[in-house]
Amino acid sequence: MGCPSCGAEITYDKRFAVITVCEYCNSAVIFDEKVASIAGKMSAIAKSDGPLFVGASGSFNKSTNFSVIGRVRYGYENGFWDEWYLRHEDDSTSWFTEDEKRFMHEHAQKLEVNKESILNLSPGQNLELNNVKYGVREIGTAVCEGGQGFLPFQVLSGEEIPFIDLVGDNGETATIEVEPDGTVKFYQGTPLERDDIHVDNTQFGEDEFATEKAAGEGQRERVSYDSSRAKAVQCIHCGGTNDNVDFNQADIKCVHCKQSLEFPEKSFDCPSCSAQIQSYTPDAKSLSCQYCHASVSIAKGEPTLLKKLKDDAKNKKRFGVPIKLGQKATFDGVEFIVVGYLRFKEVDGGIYISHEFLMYNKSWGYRWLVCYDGHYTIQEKFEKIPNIDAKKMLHYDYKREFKVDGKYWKFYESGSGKIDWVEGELTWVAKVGDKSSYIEAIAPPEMVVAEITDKEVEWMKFRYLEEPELAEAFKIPESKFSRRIGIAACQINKKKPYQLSTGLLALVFAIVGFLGFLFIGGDKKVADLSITKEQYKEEFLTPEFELHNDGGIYRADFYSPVDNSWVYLDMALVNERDEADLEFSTNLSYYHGYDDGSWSEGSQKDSVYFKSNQGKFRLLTAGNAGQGESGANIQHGQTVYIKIYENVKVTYYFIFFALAAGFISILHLMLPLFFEGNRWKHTTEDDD
Amino acid sequence: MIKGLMFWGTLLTAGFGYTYHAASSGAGIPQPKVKPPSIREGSVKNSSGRMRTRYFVGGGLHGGK
Repeated sequence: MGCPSCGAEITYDKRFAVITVCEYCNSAVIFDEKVASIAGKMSAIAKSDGPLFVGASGSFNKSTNFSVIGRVRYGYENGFWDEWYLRHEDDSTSWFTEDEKRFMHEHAQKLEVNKESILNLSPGQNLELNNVKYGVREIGTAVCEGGQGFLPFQVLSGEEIPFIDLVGDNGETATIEVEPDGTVKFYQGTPLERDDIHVDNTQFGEDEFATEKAAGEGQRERVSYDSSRAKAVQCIHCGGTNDNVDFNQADIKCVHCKQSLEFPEKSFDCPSCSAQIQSYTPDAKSLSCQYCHASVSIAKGEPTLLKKLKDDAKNKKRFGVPIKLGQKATFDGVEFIVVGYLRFKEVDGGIYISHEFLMYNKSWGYRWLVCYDGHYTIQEKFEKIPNIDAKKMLHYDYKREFKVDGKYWKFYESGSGKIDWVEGELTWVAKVGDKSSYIEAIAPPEMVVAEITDKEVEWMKFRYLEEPELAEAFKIPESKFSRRIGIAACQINKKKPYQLSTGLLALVFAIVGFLGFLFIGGDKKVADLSITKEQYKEEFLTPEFELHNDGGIYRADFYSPVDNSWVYLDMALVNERDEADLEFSTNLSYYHGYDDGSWSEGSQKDSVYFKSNQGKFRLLTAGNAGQGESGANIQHGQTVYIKIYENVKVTYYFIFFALAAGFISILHLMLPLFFEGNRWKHTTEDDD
Repeated sequence: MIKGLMFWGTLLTAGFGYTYHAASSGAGIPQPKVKPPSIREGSVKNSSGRMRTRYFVGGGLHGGK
């Protein structure tokens, strides 16, 4: 059939298409029974940087075959997304949605809802559609930017389509679109990884899709430079600027680090200073000029000046963050390029600044690296994108638990701030002063963050980066990174296993020491003496007793039934030659009473350890006694009973050891608690 | 972690071993005098040069409660 506009041959299959776009003149041709008429013009749209193109065929999830028969691109405030119309072997149809390297496979579903009720939804709100519970992730109005091939509905360039992005309980995705004629379209689907989609390009050869095929294989569109224009390329290895680069050379070396320069994806003239600014990613929506630091939007293709930022040292300061734009880093075996940077500032009883770097890899997509207080976290992919109403969580109590992505997270904190500085390229139009709220929840070493604006709730998952992994990824020595301050929200206590192991080990030793105090002994009584007050008021020699171990350890146990009184004895161990081998004393003093409660002090017992040679000995004793605070009065004295033991061990030494081991144990067992206390200190201080 | 655990394990084992040795050998407790004095009356001169009649001088006093 011929195009009614240009006469070129166009194909049409009414099973799949309501309109088809003429690939020569871009007329949107509508078929009504046997008559083809022009519905309007479709804008030509740029090749996709992804794997898909109209005419491609392949499979996804290793089993489902498809052919791409149409494509429509929608633009919105912060960028665009592509919808790829698929035909399957059984002639059924479905869609791939591709947005910033994220893919969803979606089927059109019937949905009986009131258009107004749909348009009144707000981000974060929950709803149930076709028996699936969803949360509203984003609300906006898209504009059709163009189309290709077959499309099953009428849409023309420039038409506005209100849309709502939804996320289901189990990670399902869904989109609601309100067509220009008021029809509400509902697409249910599931997220896909880029690697889940296999495009078989070989079947096409040098046919009409050859150009698209090249795009599908990931070849970059080479940038053409005007030779009269100043040329500068920022080195992706060291971040240094290379002026007056001769692009005709095969291998251009960075003048700073001498490594090969890589060419940007696109380049633009800065609308403020006319210098060239480069974009290394296909999805950049805003750029900053490295010369005049103008913030530039390229969301609509042509660069538009957003704001010229104050380009001074204070704003460029990164506070000990050694990462530069253009640097490469390898995480999980994937090489990324740092393409964008923004500084996020929160004022809440103090100034809190986080440094956020956007990294890009063609297969992985975009990945954030965030630095706060010298601690780094890196974005990870969700198994299931959360559909929780994040707005309700803004006032959660800290440590409140909820389930996301198959595991439980503890609410950490919420707050709000604004973008303080931007550099490089970002996938949305980011402006200094843009405000957003956030909530953070942790399950160390991971953290989930919801960024909340009026139009969007975006959940992201991060993983804590230890210094060695960070340094290895960037090939930067650990010493170049600033010191980490305090404990980060999702930092894992790497020393916890050591601390607990050491604590338990020391506890075992403490118990063994205590048992040694109680049970190590084997002592034998060799003397049982008693000395009355009449005897000890003068010097008195006890009856003879025999000690059997030469140089052995002996213990003398003393007891006297003193009661609110005291007895003091000086003693000398007297050998057979009437010589005092050694001297010791005991003080038995026991007082008790009632004074706002019962009290007591002192003891009726005492012990003395001593060493002695073997032989026969007596004790020379002399003492005194008394009562209350009055002076000595032997009339208040009590009999003192003395028992002497041999083969003893100084068991109280084991108490000292048990106390020391117990202290080491408690200290190590407490350290993980101190760590957790420091982790939550920030949030509890906020509550105060 | 292993190094730290080994350090504390060694330290605690050595500490327990020394404690057992000290408890068994009586480290730090009084020993017999090398030249023990006689307790016989008049055997020792006191500071004023007179021969003492008591062994304990000035002992046995207590400050009370």
